[in-house]
Amino acid sequence: MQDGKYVVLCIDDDADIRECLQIILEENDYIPVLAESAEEGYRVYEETKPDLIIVDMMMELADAGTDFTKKVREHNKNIPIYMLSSVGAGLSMNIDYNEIGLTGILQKPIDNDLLLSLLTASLK
Amino acid sequence: MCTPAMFKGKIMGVIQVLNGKDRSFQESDLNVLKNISHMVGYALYHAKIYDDLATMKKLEMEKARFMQIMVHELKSPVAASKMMTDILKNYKNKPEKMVSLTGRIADRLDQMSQLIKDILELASVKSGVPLGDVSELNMVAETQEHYEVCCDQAKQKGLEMSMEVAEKELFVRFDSQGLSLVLSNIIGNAVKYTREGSVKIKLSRQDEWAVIEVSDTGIGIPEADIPKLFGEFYRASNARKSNIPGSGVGLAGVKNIIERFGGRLELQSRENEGSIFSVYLPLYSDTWRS
Repeated sequence: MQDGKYVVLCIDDDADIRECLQIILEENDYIPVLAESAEEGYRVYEETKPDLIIVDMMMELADAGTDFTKKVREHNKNIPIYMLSSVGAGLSMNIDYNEIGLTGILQKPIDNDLLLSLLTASLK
Repeated sequence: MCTPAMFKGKIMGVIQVLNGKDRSFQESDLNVLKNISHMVGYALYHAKIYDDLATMKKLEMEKARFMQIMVHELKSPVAASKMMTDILKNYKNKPEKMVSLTGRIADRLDQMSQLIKDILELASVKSGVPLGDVSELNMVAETQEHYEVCCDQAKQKGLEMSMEVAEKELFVRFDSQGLSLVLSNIIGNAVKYTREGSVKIKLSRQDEWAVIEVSDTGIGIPEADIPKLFGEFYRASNARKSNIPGSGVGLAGVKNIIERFGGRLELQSRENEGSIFSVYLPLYSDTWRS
């Protein structure tokens, strides 16, 4: 938390998606921190200690998002992590999302109301 | 001495036998070699078929993988555009024309997003790779879940919706995501293509089959369109004219996945009166379950 506001780390290689998330989060009193790759995301994660993470599944590598999540989960079991997917929840590579430790999956395009209600529920 | 290894009139190879001893080949040797050659020809013929099938399967999977990547690339800009449009929609004090236009852009992007999702599902179904886990599923519970989702949509349209269940449990062995695709399509379509009246779901056991029947009082399907309805990208003529959005992809995937698991899909319909879609899936028997 910074200045009484929750910090949300958004990792996506699509600049437009990052900007949309930034606008939505800022307008709703969250502090967004952004990264455009899993590698940069992990660095920002260590620097900013966010309260919640939203990470895209397919970035520079098809499983960049899942690898990032596993790496975070090695030492942080509690932080909520939502994965962004644009290929359909059930169709995406038969991954066991519970086993990886994801809190949930958000389908692109992300519904603003759904995103905000998940943030409220996860961060209360 | 050599003989051709033939099968079905095709030479698959040649077998040559050399004699290193001071003994000439006899007629009986030739007969033995002919028999062996026939068996070798038979084996080579079938080995080639297996090889061709494996190559075809590999090509099919590569094609499906390519489709998945292409759809992902298509979907990304649509998703970003939709999110930006939604942000614009939420800005207050916009001129009336802008409110209308941003709403229409959002609707068109939703249509495009749905089409891409349908194509992706069809590509996945056709690749033969299961969409989810293949496991024992209780059709009653699975149908109930989709029924509840569609009830909200039906209610908004003022449709009467009901579900009749003759058995407590009807177990089938099926692809979990595939079953979800089947149920969401056939129940969702009934609600989508019915303007007034009702949508009824009936679940029952018929001999060795779990049967789900979805009947509606919707726009129905013209008789001439029924044989073509399960083709990819085919939409019935009245559906195309109805302004109800759709791609004609959903049912092709549904039929493909049902048949892959040994089931069948039946359709009865009359234009302007309604349709009945019946899905028959082989019951996963108590004996196998135990």
